[in-house]
Amino acid sequence: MAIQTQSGIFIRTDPALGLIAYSPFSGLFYACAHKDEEQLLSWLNKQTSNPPSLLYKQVLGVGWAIDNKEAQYRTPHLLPEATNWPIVPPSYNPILINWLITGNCPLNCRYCYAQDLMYGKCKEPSTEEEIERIVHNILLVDPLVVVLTGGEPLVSPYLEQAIKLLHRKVGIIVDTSGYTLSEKHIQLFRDYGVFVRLSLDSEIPRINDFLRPILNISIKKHGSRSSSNSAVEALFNLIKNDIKVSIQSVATKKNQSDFEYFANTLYKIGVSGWRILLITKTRDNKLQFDKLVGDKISQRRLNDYIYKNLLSKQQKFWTNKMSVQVTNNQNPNAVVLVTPDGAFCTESNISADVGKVLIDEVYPTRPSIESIHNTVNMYAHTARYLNFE
Amino acid sequence: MKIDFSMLREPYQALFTSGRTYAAFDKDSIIPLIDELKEYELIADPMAGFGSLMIWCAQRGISTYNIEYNPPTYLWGILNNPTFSDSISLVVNELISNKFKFPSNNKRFAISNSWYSPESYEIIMDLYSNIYRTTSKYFTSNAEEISLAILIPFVGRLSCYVPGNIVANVKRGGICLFDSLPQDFQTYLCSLENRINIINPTFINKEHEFVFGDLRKTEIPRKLSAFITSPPYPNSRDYYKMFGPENDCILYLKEKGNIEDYTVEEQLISCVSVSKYVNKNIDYSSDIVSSSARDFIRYIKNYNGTRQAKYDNKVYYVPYYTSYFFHIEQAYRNFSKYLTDRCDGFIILTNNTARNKTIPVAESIMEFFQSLDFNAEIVDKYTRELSHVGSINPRVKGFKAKHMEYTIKVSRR
Repeated sequence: MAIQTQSGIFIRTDPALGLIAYSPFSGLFYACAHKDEEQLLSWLNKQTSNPPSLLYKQVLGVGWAIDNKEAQYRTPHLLPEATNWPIVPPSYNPILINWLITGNCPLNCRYCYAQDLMYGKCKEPSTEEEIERIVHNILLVDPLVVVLTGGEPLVSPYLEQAIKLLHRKVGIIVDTSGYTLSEKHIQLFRDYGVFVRLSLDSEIPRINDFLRPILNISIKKHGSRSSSNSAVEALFNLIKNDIKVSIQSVATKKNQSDFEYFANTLYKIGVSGWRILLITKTRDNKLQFDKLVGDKISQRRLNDYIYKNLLSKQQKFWTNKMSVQVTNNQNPNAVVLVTPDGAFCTESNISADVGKVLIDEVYPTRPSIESIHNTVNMYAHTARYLNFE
Repeated sequence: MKIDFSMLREPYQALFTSGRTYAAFDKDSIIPLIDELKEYELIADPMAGFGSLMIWCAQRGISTYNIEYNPPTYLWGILNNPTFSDSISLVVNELISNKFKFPSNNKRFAISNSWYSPESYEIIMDLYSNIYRTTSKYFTSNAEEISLAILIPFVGRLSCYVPGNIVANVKRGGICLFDSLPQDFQTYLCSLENRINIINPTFINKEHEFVFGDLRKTEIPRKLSAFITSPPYPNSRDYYKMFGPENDCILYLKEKGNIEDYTVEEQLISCVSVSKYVNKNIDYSSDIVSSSARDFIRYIKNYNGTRQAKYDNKVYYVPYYTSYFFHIEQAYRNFSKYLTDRCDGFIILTNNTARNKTIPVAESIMEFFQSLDFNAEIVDKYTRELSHVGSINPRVKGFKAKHMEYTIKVSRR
């Protein structure tokens, strides 16, 4: 079971991987060497002020032991250093579960991987008991973190209940566009130590709004605010209220060339983490995928740009204040998803045409660990969250 | 205080720290030419760009007469004009002491698809008024211009933009952060003062004119006997758009009635926008004097490439090169009217390539001056091959990567 230490850091002992830690201050995961476990636990529980090494302090100490200025955001997330890990085994239990708490969303992002579950295609939860049941089933598979996503989780009437049920049992991350962020949400995040991942694909509004347009129905309800204006306003609002926040951006041909300068802007704003995602090709976004990413040569160029240019720039200029993660989505079945109606699924690793695949056909809402191992690529899952894809 | 221009846009960072940026003169190429013209008391640069020639001549005791049509580069020339450097130093010094109070709106940022948000425009107006109040104590006739010259390099800090892949490209729209704005402005002024203090003592001659004008039609109120110049390259870079935020700011201040006129009535030479020529079926290639230019344009017109290449040639490259050569000749024709019977000059330019053929910039300019009864020939000792300069395609090799820089000597006896 995941435990929250005195420092606020969540830890869990994985039968295969050993001790995994999640920092709600940076939103990042780390695997920790066996030899350092005892002293690490002591330090995380504030029984000693000495971590196993300075590297642990620079990485896991952010937010409670050191200032962000002293942080070192290096990859991969293997502590104390990658050289201590000649082999990284796949984690036994999922490190992270993405709970699509609702399929409703005010946006209509061109690359959305969840379109087959959205806008009424999957049954929405309708009672608090359902939410309790889903939370119970999620905790049974022993994740370290649950990401509340969708759709747009902020429009779910059960968001607060879900957060309260998960509080202190797992780390909680909310993935949001910020479009409907309110003072009530901010209060909720502050009270329950929620880490927020805000989606913003470009600082140029017309590019971001092209990739993340507002759903027509939402314009009538919320007015014609653009998705970029609301995302940036949300970002500054969250920072002002001391909510821990990182930015997520989907890389496409449209916005890729702006990424370096965008990263500089995020760095100046004081964002501590930036995650770049390459589009997952799904059954419903296939046409958009080809337009946004292009052919294999374009895809390779995009990958090269991100891995060579951006990551090397991060090492030179932003290491001490801003983490940069890249999620290439080349293994679609590296993720564990929970649909609005509580079924556990993943993406097919054979063809985008297949769509979402139930992890356990017999018990779709309470999968066994064996069925998880049979459907989810646990090595890719581990690599994704420990950032060594 | 150390010199720090990191808060400025990239072209100005380069201009302030090294004195040059994209497409500017290379000092090593120009100094020998200045020395060859040392018998003359004044050297002209009718397409002055960033005014580098003016600085180097000033350091050698030679006066200059400069013309430039792109407003931000013209104002850069004003800011660096040795004639004004003593007084500008006094203005900047007083601005530093005054510590301008920025309007307090408690906003940390603005996000916009335009060059500036409304908040930024408001700050720009206030800044300009503040600078003008101080400048007008030291400059009677051109306080407005000097104020603008001091302000313009800083306005990029207030703009919403994202740099392109090279310094000549800039994209409109983005996030402007208002954090540390007062400190950044103070740092800019202090760094500007430091720079003036370093460069000012190197000037031996402080008689220089820098004039805003379009060489294609401007009237020059004097006769000129010596010149060194370089035309814009036909490399599809838009120098007006390179300074998009700055040009927008100038238009804004003009609309508000704060400044007179830096209107660019006709597109700059080598401007990339050719739609008006395509749409109106304007074809003035027959008005081009140089046969090498006409042959090149005909080659592009008849180029036997892919369907896409032929289409691109028709709608863009043919009108682009026609416009380029036509306007270059127009500019030099006008300029030649103001040259004395005995005169010497150098024109530095680069031939790059298009559609597997050398663009005959050097040949066409030589031919053109010869048609006006000047002697014009390439000076071999200054010819050099440049590396793959200014291209966004690093995979291009061989002929396509070849750029030859030529220096043409133009003279009349």
